[in-house]
Amino acid sequence: MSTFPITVMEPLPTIHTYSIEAIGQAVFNLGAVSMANATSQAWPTANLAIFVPFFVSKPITFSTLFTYNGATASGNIDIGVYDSAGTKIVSSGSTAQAGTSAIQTFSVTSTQIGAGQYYLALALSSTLGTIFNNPLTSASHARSTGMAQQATALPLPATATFASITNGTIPYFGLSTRSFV
Amino acid sequence: MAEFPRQYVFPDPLVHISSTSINSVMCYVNSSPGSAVFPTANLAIFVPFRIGRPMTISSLFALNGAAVSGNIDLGIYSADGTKIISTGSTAQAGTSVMQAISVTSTQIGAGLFYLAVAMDNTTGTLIRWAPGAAPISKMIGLAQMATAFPLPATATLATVANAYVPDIGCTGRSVV
Repeated sequence: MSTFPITVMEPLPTIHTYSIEAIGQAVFNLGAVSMANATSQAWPTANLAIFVPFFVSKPITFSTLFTYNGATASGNIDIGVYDSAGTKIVSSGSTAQAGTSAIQTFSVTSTQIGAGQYYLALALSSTLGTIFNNPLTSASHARSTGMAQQATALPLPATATFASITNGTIPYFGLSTRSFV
Repeated sequence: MAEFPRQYVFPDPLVHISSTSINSVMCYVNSSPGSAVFPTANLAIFVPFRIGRPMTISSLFALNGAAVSGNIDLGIYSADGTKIISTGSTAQAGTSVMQAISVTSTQIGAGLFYLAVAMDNTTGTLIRWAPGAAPISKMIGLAQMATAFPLPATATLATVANAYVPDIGCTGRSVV
């Protein structure tokens, strides 16, 4: 006998690196890391892209991406979403980092993604630019969450070549299905 | 016979849904709550939550802080800002305890909703989380509306200005 379809759950209005849909649960289990304890951290390497996996259980549409900038803004940011194979779906393009200790929003073409696994991607052009994040105790912990990176990746490439993450920091960034964050 | 395709389903709601539920926002933040005055008179704060199955609501609640004053209005909104149910303006009562207010029994379906709270003064207090700074409240999906007491039939959701995540919730159980 066939099984009835099961109702899926809507994501919250925002999906960010600490969401349950992303690596939030894994991060909490890696050492009492709380979003409330975020600190401003310099971007580890100029033009490095960091990829954070997330899933959605039903289609969502978004046109706003965001970062939580740290105490210093410098250089440019590129923020985007990739599919599980590393193909870029949408990105902001290289944009001047602006605003300190605040959310910076980036408008992108209204984009629908279906149920499945994706990556949030963020690259900064300068190690003077800062993003709020939480440091894990080791890069190995970051690797265990499924994060990845690519060097020399600003602007974000059309196709990502994932490499093992070498930093143990979890930057704060994400997407919003509302027009605001 | 072939099996119907399945998709991911979030856990069923527990008896209560609150800001601390895995269905809502505070599971991301992991900080300690405390008593604090409501940030702005007549402000409404909206806390998103999601459920995977229909749920019947018969009470809304707030965790009051060390001082009570004036009136409170608690409600549930759909994702598009339409009010589903609210308590109406009610005198805030009981310090450092949960204040539960009965509402007309209302079923809400699976989906995304908002818990809403508004107060008409800044002397009354709620138990709240202050997760670092306002940007984190923004990141986790809170929204607000000014001049929204009593809670309006339709909310115009806007970005929050405060690091103030109230401990509020709803339940369908007769015992809160």
